[in-house]
Amino acid sequence: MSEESEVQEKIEFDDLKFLRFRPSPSFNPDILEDYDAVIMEYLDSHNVMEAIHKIRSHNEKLVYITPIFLLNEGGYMKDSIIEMVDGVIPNIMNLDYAAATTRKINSRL
Amino acid sequence: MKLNSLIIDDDASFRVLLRKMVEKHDSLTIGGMAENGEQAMELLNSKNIDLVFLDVQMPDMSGFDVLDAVKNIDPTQVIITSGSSAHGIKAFDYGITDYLVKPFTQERFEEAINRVLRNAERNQYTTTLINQILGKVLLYIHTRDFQDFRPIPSRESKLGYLYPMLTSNLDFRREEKALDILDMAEQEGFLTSTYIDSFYTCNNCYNSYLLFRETCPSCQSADVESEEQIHHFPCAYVGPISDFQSSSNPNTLECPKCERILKHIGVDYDKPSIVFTCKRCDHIFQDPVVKAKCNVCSSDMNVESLLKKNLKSYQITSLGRDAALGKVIIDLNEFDDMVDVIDKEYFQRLLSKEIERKKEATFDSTIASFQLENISEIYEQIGNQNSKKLVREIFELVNSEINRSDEVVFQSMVTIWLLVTEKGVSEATPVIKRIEQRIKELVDDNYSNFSLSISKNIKPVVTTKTASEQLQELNATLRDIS
Repeated sequence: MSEESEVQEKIEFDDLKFLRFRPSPSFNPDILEDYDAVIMEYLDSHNVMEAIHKIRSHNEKLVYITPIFLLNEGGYMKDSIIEMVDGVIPNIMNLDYAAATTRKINSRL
Repeated sequence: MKLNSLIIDDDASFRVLLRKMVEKHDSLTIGGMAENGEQAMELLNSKNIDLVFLDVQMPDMSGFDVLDAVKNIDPTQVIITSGSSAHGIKAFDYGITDYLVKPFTQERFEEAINRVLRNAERNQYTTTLINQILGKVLLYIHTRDFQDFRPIPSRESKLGYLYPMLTSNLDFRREEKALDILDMAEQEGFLTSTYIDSFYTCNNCYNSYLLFRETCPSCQSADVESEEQIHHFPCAYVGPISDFQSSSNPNTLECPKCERILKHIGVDYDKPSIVFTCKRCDHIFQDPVVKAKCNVCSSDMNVESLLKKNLKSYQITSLGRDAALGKVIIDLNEFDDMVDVIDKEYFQRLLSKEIERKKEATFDSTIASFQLENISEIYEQIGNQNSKKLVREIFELVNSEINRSDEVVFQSMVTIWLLVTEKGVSEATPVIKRIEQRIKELVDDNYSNFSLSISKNIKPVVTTKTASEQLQELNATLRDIS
């Protein structure tokens, strides 16, 4: 089992499935086809940016259009990365904003 | 990539032979066979064909009649197969990719297929990938309901800015295409735009990380010092501020001519300008040459030669929304037809193959580069799109001067690479000089009061160095010349 799969977590919120994970170089975006949105832990900007590029450059629509949220519980975040995603979640226990945004994006597909 | 192939020939035994060659080839499949022009047109109009082997002389019509009649054939998909070479010139006028004279060897067949594959790969890049990327961008804007799709400043980006979704789909060396894609999308009515700012990029590699500095107009050294110049009104003495500073008290300014103390700027003196002194050659001047050195490719250019880019935000149109949802087909076929012109990676691969070929057999080949030293001045005047047209004109001109086995690409908008196969330097030099002269004539004749400066470098292809090393040497010498 790869390192990042150990920190992956499936979160079900209402009717939505979120994938929470910690970006690493071995991240494979194929897995996102089964999720409505992703929540990335923001630990270092390089891995986050690489993960965003991997998702957005994927060939499958269900993957490249996936809403991306960053989980940041207090550290510094680069503005340029915040603007690349669909929102920042300060607390994993409150997914109302992420869920509303995800529903809005998916309704426009 | 597999190319669906159609064989058109009235000779049954040749059709069987060619079919076997096609079936054996990893990149080809048989999509059909026709024994006359009528059958050929029926198949071409009903099937998706990627490659056509076309006989010239058939009982009911010629191969050229077929090309004239079927509008959906791209000549780059066509290989003419003929019993004689008599129709070669006409065939290439049609823009076909290759001309095989029967009987031909397996090696010659492979060479022709490789040409078609290269064209197909390039076309696929331009038509498929670019359209896909734009489709993704439009869908991204639509689903996020952006009122304004704005660039994001980013130190990691080649341009210094990135566009979400768009930049992620372009590898670093092609990131500058983001602006072209958006411009094309705007021209096609998928987007409208609002000007935000302008910025400049390297005219060689399009990077925006440029190091600016003032240089001496005499010796080009950047080791220059600037000083404010002072004009003392009462005695009219003009000189650098250091003339007025006494060593005992540098905060007090005393006129070296009349020895009065300067008190009030604007009343008894002013500072009309800056004066520069070159520490290398002692030249004193007021108008330094501002140069920009690219932090990536090390090109050092006058700022006037930099490429200006406009930065815009974009708004999706209703047509763009329809395209995002697949209701309208995105077809930016006209997008960047420069991909086949400016392609240094392709040239490097080609040179690698030439080196391998040289290891197997004894023959000489030559590489050359031309640097169009001051052509950026023209580009600046005529703008991006017209600059591309000019580059394509030069590319086509050079192509018309070389043999089919030779290759030319633009390494950048200012540098051309040429591979002259099976000719040593002495044999290739007259060809290269003729090309240089033709390029100069083309540009000078079309732009009055402009004289194109070209520096060139010619080197033999050697087997002891990699393609990358040889190309680096080719360009390194050019920079020295420039």
